[in-house]
Amino acid sequence: MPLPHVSDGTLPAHVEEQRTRVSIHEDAPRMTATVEAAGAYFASGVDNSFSMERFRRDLRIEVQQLDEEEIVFDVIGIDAAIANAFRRILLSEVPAMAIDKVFILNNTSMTEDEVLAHRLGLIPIRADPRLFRERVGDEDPDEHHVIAFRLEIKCTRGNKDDPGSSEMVNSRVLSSHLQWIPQGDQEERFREREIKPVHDDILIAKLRPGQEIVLEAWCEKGIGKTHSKWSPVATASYRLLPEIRCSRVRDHFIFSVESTGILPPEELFCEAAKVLMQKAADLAQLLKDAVLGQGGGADE
Amino acid sequence: MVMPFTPPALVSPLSNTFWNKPDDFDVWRLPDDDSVQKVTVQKDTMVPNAVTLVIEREDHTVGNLLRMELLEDKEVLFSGYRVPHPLEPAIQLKVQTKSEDPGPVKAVDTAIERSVATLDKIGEAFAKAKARH
Repeated sequence: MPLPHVSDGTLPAHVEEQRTRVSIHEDAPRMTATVEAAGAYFASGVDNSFSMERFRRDLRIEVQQLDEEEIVFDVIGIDAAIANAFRRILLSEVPAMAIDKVFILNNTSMTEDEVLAHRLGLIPIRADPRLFRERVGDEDPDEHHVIAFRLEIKCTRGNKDDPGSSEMVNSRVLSSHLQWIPQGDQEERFREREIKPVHDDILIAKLRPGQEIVLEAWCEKGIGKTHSKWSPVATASYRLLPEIRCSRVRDHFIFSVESTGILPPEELFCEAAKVLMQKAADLAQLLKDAVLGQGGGADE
Repeated sequence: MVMPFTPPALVSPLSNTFWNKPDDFDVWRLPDDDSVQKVTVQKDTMVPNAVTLVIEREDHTVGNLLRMELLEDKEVLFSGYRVPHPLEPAIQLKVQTKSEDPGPVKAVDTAIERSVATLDKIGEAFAKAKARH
């Protein structure tokens, strides 16, 4: 009896389909898990292990769309674990600058201090985080850690001659009212690209005549894992390439990264790659240390 | 009898004293005093050629990536990871290899090297794609 697919180096058509496609059904997608095990197709004589040459040959990246805020690109030929690691790092481990400490000198507005501080924290600040350092522990802050802003605003009646007038000046506190106070050599360093909120029209609070807000805000470097205000992306997601016949190509990821405006979207992916590579390098070193620390190593 | 009113204890929003949520920074940064080792290797006593790595301050990002890289290695018989507790920022990675040489630690080492090479290539391909666009 002929056994067409035994050990001829190819997979039967239905197995090949399962390996390369996620099938879509009326209730849910099926066969969603990637077959990763190197020996998964051993019985068919097919080697499923990773090969650097094959990866280098098959990897394709195509930028589909790129503007100031968003990039959409295809990555073809990677595993879901890598795509997901990139997505997770873009969301929570690529550093950004955000307001973290707010010193409220006067606040007679309806907005409570803590709500105001929280709202300030969420404003994207246009400052390249790569030019700043993270403040570790009790380290004294200086111009390499902190960007200072001052907000001083008072709402007044607009028309003095007409007391009945409902005109108001400064009734809306906007992100454009945040004044950057350069520290140390910051003015020199950021002459090319002045530090300011990404958007000028973010409403921070509303005031009535006589109410005022005076505060100083410190912007520090951080990552989204600590608080999502430090996330450099508005969204970062991927989807699998759909096919007309109701399936998804398992290794074709359509990435979409929407920046908050702090960094250009096309640079965010490179930053994520750097973060992930640094993680891997650190782990390799620490693993060596851990094994050495146990006197010789677990393998020997 | 009217019970005397006891005001609730004042809790500062920054203090974690009254709930078990870990500190936002402790979730990803190792303490400065070296009290926590980033990686510890525990040899499995029941299974041959197997180790459990405890990787501190990491999560699914690294765990799933390593699991995948290890599974794609011919020498690896088993690899899996888990997050033992959602409030504890550490993962456990279990690896078993077919033989003593290359053993599980070597296999993890290879997996890390390979993922660095892979990421390097992705970075390169992305830069090219950007230039083409």
